[in-house]
Amino acid sequence: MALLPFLVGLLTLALIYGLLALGLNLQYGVTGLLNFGHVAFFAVGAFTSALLTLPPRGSAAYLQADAHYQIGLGWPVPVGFLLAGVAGGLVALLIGATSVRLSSHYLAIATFAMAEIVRSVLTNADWLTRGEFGISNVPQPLKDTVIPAGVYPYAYLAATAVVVAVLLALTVRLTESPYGRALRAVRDDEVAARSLGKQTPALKLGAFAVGGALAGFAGSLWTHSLGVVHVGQFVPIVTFQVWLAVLMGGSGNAYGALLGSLALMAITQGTRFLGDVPLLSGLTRRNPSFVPSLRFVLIGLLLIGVVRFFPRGILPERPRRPPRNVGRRGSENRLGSAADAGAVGGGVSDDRPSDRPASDRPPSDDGTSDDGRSSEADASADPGALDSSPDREPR
Amino acid sequence: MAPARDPESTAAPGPHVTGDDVLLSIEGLQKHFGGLMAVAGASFTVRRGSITGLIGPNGAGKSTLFDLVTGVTRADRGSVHLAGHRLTGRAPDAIARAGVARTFQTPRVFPDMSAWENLLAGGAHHPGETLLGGLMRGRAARHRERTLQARAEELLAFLGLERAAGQAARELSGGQRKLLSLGRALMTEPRLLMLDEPAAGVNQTLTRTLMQRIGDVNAGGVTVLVVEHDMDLIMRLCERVIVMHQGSVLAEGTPAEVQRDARVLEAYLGGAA
Repeated sequence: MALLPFLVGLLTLALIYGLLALGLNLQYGVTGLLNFGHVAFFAVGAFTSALLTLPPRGSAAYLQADAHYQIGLGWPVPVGFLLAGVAGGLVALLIGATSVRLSSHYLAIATFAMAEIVRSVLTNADWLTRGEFGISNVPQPLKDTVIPAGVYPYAYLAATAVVVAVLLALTVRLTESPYGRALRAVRDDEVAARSLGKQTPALKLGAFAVGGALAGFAGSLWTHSLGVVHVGQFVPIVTFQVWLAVLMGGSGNAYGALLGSLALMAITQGTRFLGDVPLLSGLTRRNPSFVPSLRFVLIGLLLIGVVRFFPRGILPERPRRPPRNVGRRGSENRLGSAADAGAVGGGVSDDRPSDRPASDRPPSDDGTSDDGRSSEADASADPGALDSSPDREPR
Repeated sequence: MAPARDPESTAAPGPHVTGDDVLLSIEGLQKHFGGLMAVAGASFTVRRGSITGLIGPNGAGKSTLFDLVTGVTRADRGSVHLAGHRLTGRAPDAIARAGVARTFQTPRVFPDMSAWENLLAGGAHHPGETLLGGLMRGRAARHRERTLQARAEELLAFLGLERAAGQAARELSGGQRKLLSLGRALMTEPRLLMLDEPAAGVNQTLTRTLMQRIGDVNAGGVTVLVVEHDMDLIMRLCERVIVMHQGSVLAEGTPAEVQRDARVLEAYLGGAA
């Protein structure tokens, strides 16, 4: 078994799924949208990129390949890539505009149905997609002309890594911005977010569209890496594998989404070799479907294990801490600022009851019987006293 | 009962709406859920700069009224005006942006976000809160973020939540959550702050703090409308009290007046009403 080519293929696939997971993470992990139709945006991106970049009908390349497709614009692959993202985003925008207002479970059903509709359309639009036959000579950029076929997978992996890294950086920039914060607010409590003036439908639609665009990009990377696109690639199990990657990696954490995809691919691709295991190979001889079935069992067990032992994923989302300088200013400053905040009339130094870390408290504070509280409140009558607490460095 | 005329047809502001000293005016507000008339034609005004209490026995329609004012539920009829601008029929987020902030009876913090982020998420009118604004982070967005961070820092100190700043809100105690949701509402820099039972389930020390903070906020120019069962708090904090019973306003006046009102006592103690 050639290990290196296998690993290169696995990593490329993991990165492409990582991009899908990045999109779903933005939709579900950050914004709380239950999207069960992610594969549709993947498919739209793949077909968009393929059709835009295929050599035009009747061209030398077309004839040489003995092709049968109707549409090929012969545009450069980078253009196809960018427009794949645009197409994925637009389809998500279109679908989101009608369904993103639905509450969680209904959205899940609507997106699942929508993905099946997209697949059905693609299957039946023979003139566009060649239906079940698919299109097999999707261009692989620079192959044989600049990069020899032997090293092409390595070059493609490198290019994919760069593209995914750039999109990861942009996504993280977005989620760590005030926009991302507003999305998380929608996820955590939409009613509360709305009561703070957030335009939650627009926020949800935006996140849904950007997630769709990321899946569209992934579709482009996928189709050019294979040189083939056909409808059968875009079945619902793809969506669920992306879900598994997001949940396994750590919902809400972009890095977790990538890690989850890597783990997922290591398992799904790695289990291809189960048939080579001596004991199992004996069973395979009598029952050829034994190992493929076992792979699904393993994936299922994995999902159960993740939910049981890492309910928040391998790399859980961490609450964002305030910048380091917050809370370390002098007490005079703080007293002054408190006065600004609400025209505090002399009463600022009384009753500071909640300075204790929550771990010291009973889990639900209905307490009228918390005796320690009042003496602590007295002790902290000087607001400056807070600064002398042991876990805070003196200024 | 509800006034006979249809409030929807009042194009011009009604008598309650005008006057510089009125911030919130509610007229003939009605809402029923199935056969239950939750709010049955309630009308009252809240004076600018006041702390007004809204009391009444359980089921009097106080929380529903809050939901109607903030747009969470739609009124069947009646109108709500803020400083002469009609709020009725507008989306909850639009009402919030018009200057109405509220807390909920059970504090609705953002559980997986830190206390710090909970506060910042309250900041309104943020240029960085759009898709492009978030990616670009232009000067206006950065400036707004700095302003909000400074305000959040002040509020952490103001509410005594500094140590909890980095903790996920789900890890906070019930009292801390109440304080946090108060702080988050204040981050919106509201004109009207509506508090739904701020002291319920909060220990006495914290209640004192809360009262003080509400007073401080009010002294800073924010009008406060507070629903509360803690009569001591209402009597000490509020300059005016509105008593609701069975969906409509039963009595209205200073705390002392309301306390003497025989109808109020009857409603609370379950007389022949």
